[in-house]
Amino acid sequence: METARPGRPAAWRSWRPPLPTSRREQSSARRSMEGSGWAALPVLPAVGPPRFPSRRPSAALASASSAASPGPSWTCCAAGPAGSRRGTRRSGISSGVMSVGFGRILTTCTWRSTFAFATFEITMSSDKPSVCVNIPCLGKGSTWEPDALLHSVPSLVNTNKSVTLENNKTSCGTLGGLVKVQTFPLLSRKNYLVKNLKRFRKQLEREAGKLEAARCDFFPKTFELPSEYHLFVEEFRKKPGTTWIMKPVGRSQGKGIFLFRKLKDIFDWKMDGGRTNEQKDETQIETYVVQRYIENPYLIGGRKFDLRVYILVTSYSPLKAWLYRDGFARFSSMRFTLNSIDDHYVHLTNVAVQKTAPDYDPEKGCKWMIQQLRQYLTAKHGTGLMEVLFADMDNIFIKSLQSVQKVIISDKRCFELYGYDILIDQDLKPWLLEVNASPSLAASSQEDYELKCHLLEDTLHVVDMEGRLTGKEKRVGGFDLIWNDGPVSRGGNLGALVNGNFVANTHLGCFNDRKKQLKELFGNLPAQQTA
Amino acid sequence: MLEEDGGLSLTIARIVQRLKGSSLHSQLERQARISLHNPEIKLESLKEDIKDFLKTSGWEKKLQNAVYSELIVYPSPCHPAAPPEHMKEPLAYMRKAQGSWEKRILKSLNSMCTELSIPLAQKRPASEQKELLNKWNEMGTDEPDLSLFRPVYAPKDFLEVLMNLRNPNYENGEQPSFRNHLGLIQVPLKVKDIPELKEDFSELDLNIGQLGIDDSAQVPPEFFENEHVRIGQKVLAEQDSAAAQQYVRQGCPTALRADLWALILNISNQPEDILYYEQLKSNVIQHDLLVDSLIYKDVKLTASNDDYYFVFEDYLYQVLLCFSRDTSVLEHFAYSSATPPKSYIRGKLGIEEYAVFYPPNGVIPFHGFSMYVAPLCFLYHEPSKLYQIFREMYVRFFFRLHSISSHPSGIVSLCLLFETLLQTHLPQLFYHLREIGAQPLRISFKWMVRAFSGYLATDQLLLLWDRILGYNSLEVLAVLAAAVFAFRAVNLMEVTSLAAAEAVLADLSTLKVMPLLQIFLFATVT
Repeated sequence: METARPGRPAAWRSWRPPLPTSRREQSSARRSMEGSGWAALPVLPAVGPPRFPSRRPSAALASASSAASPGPSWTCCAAGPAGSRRGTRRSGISSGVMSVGFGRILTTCTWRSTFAFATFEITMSSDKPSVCVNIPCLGKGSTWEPDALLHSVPSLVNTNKSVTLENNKTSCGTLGGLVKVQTFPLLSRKNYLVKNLKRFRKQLEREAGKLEAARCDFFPKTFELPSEYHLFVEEFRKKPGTTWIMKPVGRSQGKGIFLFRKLKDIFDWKMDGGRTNEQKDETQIETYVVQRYIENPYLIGGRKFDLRVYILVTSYSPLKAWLYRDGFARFSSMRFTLNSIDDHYVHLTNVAVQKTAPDYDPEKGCKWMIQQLRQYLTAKHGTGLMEVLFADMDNIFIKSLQSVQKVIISDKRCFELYGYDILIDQDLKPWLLEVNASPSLAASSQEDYELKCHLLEDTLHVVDMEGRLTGKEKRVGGFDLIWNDGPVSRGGNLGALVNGNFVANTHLGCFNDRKKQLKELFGNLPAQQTA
Repeated sequence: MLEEDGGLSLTIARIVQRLKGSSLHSQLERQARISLHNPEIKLESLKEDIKDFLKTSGWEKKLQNAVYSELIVYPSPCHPAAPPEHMKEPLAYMRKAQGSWEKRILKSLNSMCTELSIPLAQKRPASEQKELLNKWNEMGTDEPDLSLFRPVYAPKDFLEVLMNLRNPNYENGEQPSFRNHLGLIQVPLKVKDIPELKEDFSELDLNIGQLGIDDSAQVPPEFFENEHVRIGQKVLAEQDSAAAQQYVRQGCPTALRADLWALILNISNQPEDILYYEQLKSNVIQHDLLVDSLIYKDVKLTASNDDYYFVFEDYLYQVLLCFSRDTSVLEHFAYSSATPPKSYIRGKLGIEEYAVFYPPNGVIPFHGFSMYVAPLCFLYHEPSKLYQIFREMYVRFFFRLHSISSHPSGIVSLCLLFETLLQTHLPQLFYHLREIGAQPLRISFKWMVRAFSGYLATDQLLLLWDRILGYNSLEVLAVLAAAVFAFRAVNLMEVTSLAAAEAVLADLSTLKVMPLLQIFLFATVT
């Protein structure tokens, strides 16, 4: 049960992030951000606790700042290994501010002279309130360079190139204020995912037989263009009348996606594509993947939807993956029909695409929490089928990660948060559409906002830079350990069986009582650290 | 004793009368006739054999369910000497108040009609009919200009009417005294106190397993949930309405809810029911009614903007437009205090022979009406079944939430129950809110009128509606409203204005219904 609290303000969108000390400072800060390619980020006043939504305890920050002691500290604005004023040592200032990009979240790290704390202030966008994650960093007393943080948190690392406005226009591929961050490209680049899955499937077929390999058939037939063009044409001729979808490999959020049924359409695209590529970059031809379009998606109220599920990988060798309990279903704002394939709003459920639909109502958000979806489907199809569906989805997560396991160079300190896009068809079979590294963390509604804040907090809990965990936990906040060099079972000890049956430790779409769990987990620590 | 027997025989006579015209009657007859070919049926014991046959083939259960449903929906007949309107509403001042409220609604509807110079009804041109038929499944994509239309009334307007309700035979006294009711509702009606409610809702007691409490993650399913689900499957296999109704008092498992509710409401979605729905659909396609625009407007204003229900927009039109054409809804006016408004064919104003009910079902939608349908979309996806469930829910429960009557489930009694509970059990809070001009009913009224739809999270709402069906009463709404106030009492004691109080209670989506009800009823020291 929730605790009594004042109701959520009617217009949460009108909350403001903590303001810097003066308006002029704010605007200058913004300008400098724009110049360096970072979106606007208000600079924190030295140690003041930011204003929270009323129910968020701000005691953590307040206590941290009251313990401020004068000492040396680092200041680093405009992060980015190259071309930035990094590591300027200033004495007499008790704490510094650094901003790094986290997908589209901007993260400000404030740390103390003892390097005991880092405060991640996560700002969803310039007009939304920010949230603070206060974490003690590394061991107390150890010397620590700002870069250490960057390297231990790869998602926070900027691209090797310094992101400038000019770069945005040209080769970097980041657009409209989005910041490109470095990720392991192997799973999230669409063509690599395809390649790895195909390879993995073949390997499985050799080692474990056809049956096991068939469990990898959760990916619609896919080809890479232009390299596999001939294979594609062969397949295309085999099954006339199929609808195909083209996606540029390197872009995200639904940019450059289109559907077609005739080969002629790709010729047109080749012509068009050539020209625009010329403008952008003469040397590189953009790679696309072409994928069989799933024509019988499961519809709710006549609308198509896909699922976004979050997986955190803390290690690739051995593979250790965590599944987040929350997630959401994104609904297309239009009704699904195959009659008008030009109308691409119908088909893409990417929020980024939907936002430009003419009747898009930002108030609506067009999302359901995954718990609601699970409840809806259970009401319609019963508990049994739901268990099968969710077990199939677990299979997708594991198999796709295993497929890239060998090719990723694992670093002990690395972790990666993936956003899986899953589509369910009318036979309740889940299909993997895409895997996104650095998934969008912008929020479209209050519920969404909370989900993403909690996701981030829990990510940092699992990553455990403070060393509070024993390493044997099967659950941390909303994350459940689903793979630890082998399947993880529910119940007491790792690998233990419940009543002789193996029950996988997955709770996707189950009630997420993360606060309580975190309290139990970190109960012996001061409350301030559980953020 | 004698009178009771008389009442019983009257009831039996009425039910027999009603069932005679039903399709169940003809089905039973057909089955009985077919059974004659059965070698087990012998001429000498014909009656007994057919009875046995109907019992074993499950038809008796169907008859039993039909009788049970009649008993639940129709009030027991009044004294034979009582005038027929007593069946609708025994208190004259209530009837009068409802009458003048209806006049106001009608006047407002008529003035909108003249203002916009739109007829109440008109036939659609053939091209338009075809177009509508084509987009029947995606009516929500249509964006007609509805800026000129406004909902005929909102719950707020209705509350004003209820506040001014007075019993002319009752000395209210202008001076406030301890005898006065301090709330907004000033009519003397008998409402239940906590001990009576405890008795009524005995299945919600602390030591009885509840879905919504005992199925939470901390409780292992072996303790209650598994067993409860098993019993639920058994109830469904038995196809017994009464058993299902008893069962849902402890909550429905999500996977069984759709079937259990249909069983309680005695909806089987037979081919003729589907045909009936198709007929209503063709009526919608042929004629354009003014209320259609009101329905459109309401859906756009409420359900389409709801975080949960926006997906079901199209279903809502498919249900609500058909509902407005359904003349079988008129039957509920036999036991409702409301009377369907009449309109006259042009030029024949006031001549009874040319009078028709408008809209055909006699129900004028108000702001928020579509929220009665929205939660049901979570359970049923065939429009015809969804439609029947909604219609049955409406004629059993929801009509009471917007008509003035003295029925214990009527909105007046609910308001009074809410205020009395709060005044008795949280006198300080009640007094405080009253002093700062934030009468609690001003906040809770809209929750009750909508049966909390759109305020609670869907899973919680369905758990609440389980209990409405289970107890065949809306009183649980008033209890929950009071429980919400009790739960947030600490914060409410600190507010100093109506706006602040509303802010404290603006978001109910995180509340857990069952613990709140249980604590308020059974764990509060009274």
